[in-house]
Amino acid sequence: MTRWFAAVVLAASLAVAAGGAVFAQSSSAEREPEEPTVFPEGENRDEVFYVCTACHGSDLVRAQGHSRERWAEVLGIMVEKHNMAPLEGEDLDKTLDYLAKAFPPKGRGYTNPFLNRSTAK
Amino acid sequence: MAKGWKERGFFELYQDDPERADALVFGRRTGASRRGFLQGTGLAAMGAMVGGAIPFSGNMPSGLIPAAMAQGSAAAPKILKMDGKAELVILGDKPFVAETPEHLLNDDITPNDKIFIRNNGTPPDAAGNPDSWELTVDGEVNKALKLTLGELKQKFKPVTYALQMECGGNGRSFFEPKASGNQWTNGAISNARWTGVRLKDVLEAAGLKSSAVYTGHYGRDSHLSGDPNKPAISRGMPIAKAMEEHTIIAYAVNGGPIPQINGAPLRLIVPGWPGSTSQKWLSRIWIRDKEHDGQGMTGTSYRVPIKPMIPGSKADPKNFRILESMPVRSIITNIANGTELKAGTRAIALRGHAWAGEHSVAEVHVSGDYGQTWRKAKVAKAANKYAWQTWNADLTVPSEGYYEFWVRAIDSTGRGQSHAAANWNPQGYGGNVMHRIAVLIPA
Repeated sequence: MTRWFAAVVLAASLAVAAGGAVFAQSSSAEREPEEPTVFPEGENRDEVFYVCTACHGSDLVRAQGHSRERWAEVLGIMVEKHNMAPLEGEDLDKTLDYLAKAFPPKGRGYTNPFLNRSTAK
Repeated sequence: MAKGWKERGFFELYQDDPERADALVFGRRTGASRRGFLQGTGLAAMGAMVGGAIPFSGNMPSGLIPAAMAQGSAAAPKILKMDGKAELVILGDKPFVAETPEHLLNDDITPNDKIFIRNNGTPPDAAGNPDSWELTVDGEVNKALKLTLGELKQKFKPVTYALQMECGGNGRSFFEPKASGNQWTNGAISNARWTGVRLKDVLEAAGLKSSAVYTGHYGRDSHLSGDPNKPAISRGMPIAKAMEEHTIIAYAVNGGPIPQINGAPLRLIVPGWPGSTSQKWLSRIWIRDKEHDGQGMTGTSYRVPIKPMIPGSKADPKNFRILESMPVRSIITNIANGTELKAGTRAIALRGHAWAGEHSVAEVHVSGDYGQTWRKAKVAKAANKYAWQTWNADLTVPSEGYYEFWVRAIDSTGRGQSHAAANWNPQGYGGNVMHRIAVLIPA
């Protein structure tokens, strides 16, 4: 673990603490760990994970699918309205590169509930 | 704060000075935002505590235990396991958001356990003594009021109505390309019986000045960034909407206390409008002399385009207006999507609800053939204005096989539901595509 990576992990833990409230506990077997591996593999995955999850859950990111341009708009809203520190230059590029690759525009919302069933049988 | 960031970049910054980088990267304010968590806890201990994982339910209020049934796959829904709540679908845990699947909304009056969960920030702890909860009404009023919940109950006449409460983003997942935000299907809706006092009566007691044009609402939840000066959400409405007899300050639901996660002990219910106007954990109503400009009021939040924009293109905030009445919507509630019906089934009785924001539902139609033919449903009257309406319809199918049942409603102004989400906008408001469920009828 590089030194700066350790720092990001630490910072993320502080962010969770800052969220206040007592955390509910349930058995770890039932829970998907909130850690960078829940994001798709890719360059700068961990950094982007911690930048996003400093404030909100990774679910919110994983539910989205945007072009690079729209991800830039989303980050703009995070900075403007939700206290994210602005990303600039190379940092912004790295972040957008990862988000655009890992979470590209998604297909239609409706999924056939029987589709997986037939393959399972 | 952002200065050092711009000059050096965060990758480099972390190598040089992790503590300072923390402050810069996460915009962290010292002291208050950490709420003393670090007092007496060394940084080394903190690092050890983190170890590998950040807790999944990082922001869950105490006593509420969500757990995913399905693991590892982003596609499989995470099912809520929480005292006092049905098996809702978790859309996110921080902020904590859970949707009620359409088939759990079959009751005419939505029971407490099936009221969906939408948070913008971190909920406050439960009030120890609800009757001492304080509400301030100030701004453009002759006499600012500070009332406890106990006083509110004493001084104003209680009213009870069945009221729709729907998230402004309901139906968002059907936008194409995808819109930003929680990917609701159609389940960010409830129709419970709320009891409270009319906001109108309270505003009349305070005495509105002629300069009063808009309300601004505040609650006791906190922003996810931990910034104590930033509301999690603070929306409002024009005075005319505030003065409607169905706009209430609620302190009870379905004859009992409001669930903590749904805003106990005091919240607004502004029926037919985006749920974000129905402030939870209500602490202050600021009467404004202009349109409220709080968190969630500006930009493209809770707004829709005036002139339609190219889906997926860059939004011009000047082309947006505030989403007021929610659009018409209908759902099938007596059969779950993905149900295997009994072999030989040919006649199907469908049932569900329909609602239309400030309007009423005039017609509901169902189709068993992807909308090639439609049958009219029987639509019941609403229990009162702003309550949803129950519909029933019969369909027959010619054979066994895979079928989809579709439903659409048309409101009292003649507007209906579309096949594709209309009037695309980057945050996905105002979409009201038809609800469809798939069933299998074995041979």
